[in-house]
Amino acid sequence: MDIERYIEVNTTLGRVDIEKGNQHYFTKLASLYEIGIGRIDWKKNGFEKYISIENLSKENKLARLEEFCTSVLLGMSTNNSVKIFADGYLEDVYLIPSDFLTDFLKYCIDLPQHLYVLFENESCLNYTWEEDLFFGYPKNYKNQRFAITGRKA
Amino acid sequence: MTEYLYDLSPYNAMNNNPITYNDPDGDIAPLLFAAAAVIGAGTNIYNNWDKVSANPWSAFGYGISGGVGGAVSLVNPVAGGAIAAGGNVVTDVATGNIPDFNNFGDVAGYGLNVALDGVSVGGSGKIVQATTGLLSDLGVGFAEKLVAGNPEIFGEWILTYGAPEIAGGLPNVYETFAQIPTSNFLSGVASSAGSSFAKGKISQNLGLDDYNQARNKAFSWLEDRGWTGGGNPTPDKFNPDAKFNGMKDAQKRGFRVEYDDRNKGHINVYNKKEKGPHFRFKGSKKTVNKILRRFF
Repeated sequence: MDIERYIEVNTTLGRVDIEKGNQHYFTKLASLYEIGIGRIDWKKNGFEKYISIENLSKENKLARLEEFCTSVLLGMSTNNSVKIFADGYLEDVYLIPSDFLTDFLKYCIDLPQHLYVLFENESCLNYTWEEDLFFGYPKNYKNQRFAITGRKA
Repeated sequence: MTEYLYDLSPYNAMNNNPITYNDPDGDIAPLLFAAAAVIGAGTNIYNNWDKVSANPWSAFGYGISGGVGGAVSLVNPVAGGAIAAGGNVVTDVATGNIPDFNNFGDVAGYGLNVALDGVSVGGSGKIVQATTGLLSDLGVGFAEKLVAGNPEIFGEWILTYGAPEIAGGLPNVYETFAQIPTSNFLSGVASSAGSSFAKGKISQNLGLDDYNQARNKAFSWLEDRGWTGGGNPTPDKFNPDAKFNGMKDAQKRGFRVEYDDRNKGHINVYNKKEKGPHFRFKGSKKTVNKILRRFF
C-alpha cells in the first residue's frame, strides 16, 4: 500500500486527521529550535536520542525505527496526539494518536523529505532525508542531554 | 650576486635576446605584458572557478593576483608564480575561501594547490613570448599586409576600439612575433595546463573543490529521469521569504543543496516519491550557505 492509500484508508477509519498546509508548523519549529540550513541543527540545539538507519536493509530499518519510536514514546501518555509534517513529498499536517506513530512512519521511510513529529509537550522527533533519527526538546530545555559538547547541559 | 638574478632583466620580454627580438618604438612590450596579465588572470580564475562560483567577488582577487603574476612572469616566471600564489592566499583569507584544516594533510593539500596556481600563472609569460612565433606561423604576415594596405578600413576600426597607437606598432609586433620559437609556446601551455591538471587531481583527492562534480552527477541522475533543467527555486520552509534550497520542476523532480554534520555538504535529488543518492562534496556549512545564496 502506498502512502496516499494508507492515509486515505486511515482517514476514513478516523485514525488520521488532515490539516491542509504545513507552513505554520515550520514557523513554530523555527521559534522553538535551533535551525541550520533547511533543517533543525541538532548539534547546536542539543538532543536526547539519535540513531542513523541509513545503509541498513529495509527490514532492519523498520526494526530500528520501531525501537526508536518506542523509546521516545516511553513515559509519554498514550492518548497524546502528535502532528506529522514534512518539507518535501507530504504537503499537509497529519494528526494521529501517538500509539499509531510507528505504523505511520513506516510508510514515510523512503520519501524524499525531512519529516518532523511534533509532540504536545513541544518535543520533536525528526526523521531526516539522510535517514537519521533525532529526538529532542526545544533549545531552551534545561535538561537536554547532548548539547554541542555531547555532555549533559 | 647578480649571477643569481640574471633572469630579472628588461630583456626577458624580448626572450633575453635584445638583438634578435627588438622593440625600437616601444610598442610591443606593453602589449606583451598586457597579454601575459590577461592570460595569468584568466588562468588563475579558471583554476579557482569553484571558489569563484561560490563567491563571485573573489574573482577580483584571483584576477588581480593572476594578472600581476602573469605580467611579472614575462620577466621572471618564478617571481610571477610566487606573486600569484601569495595573492591567492590573501584572497582566500579575505573571502572566507580557506578550507577547513582538520589535519596536516589538509594544510599540505592546500599549500600544494596554491603552489600549483603559481606554477600555472608562471607559464603565462612563456605563452605570450612564444604566441608571437605561432601567430607568425599562422599567417600574421598576411594580416600585416592587409592592415597596412587598407588604413582607411583598419585605422577606423582600431580607433573605434580606442587603441590607435596599435596601428603604428603592428609591423614591429609582427616582426617580433615571427622570430620567437613556437617551442616556447608549447612549454608555456604545458606549464599552465599541466599544473591545472595536477591541481584538479589533488582537489579531487582531497574533495575540496568538487561541488561542481557533485552537481553534474546530481543533474545526470535527474536527466536520466526526464529532467530538462527547468523548474523553480524551492523555498526553505524555515525561512520561506528569504531563502531557497534547490529547484523543482512541474513533475516534482528536483534537487536540494544540503548540509548536515554527518554528510557535510551534499546534494539530494528526487523524482516524485523516489529518493536518489546524496551527491556529497567537501564543503563547510559556510560554503553551502554561499552556494545557496549564489544560485538561488
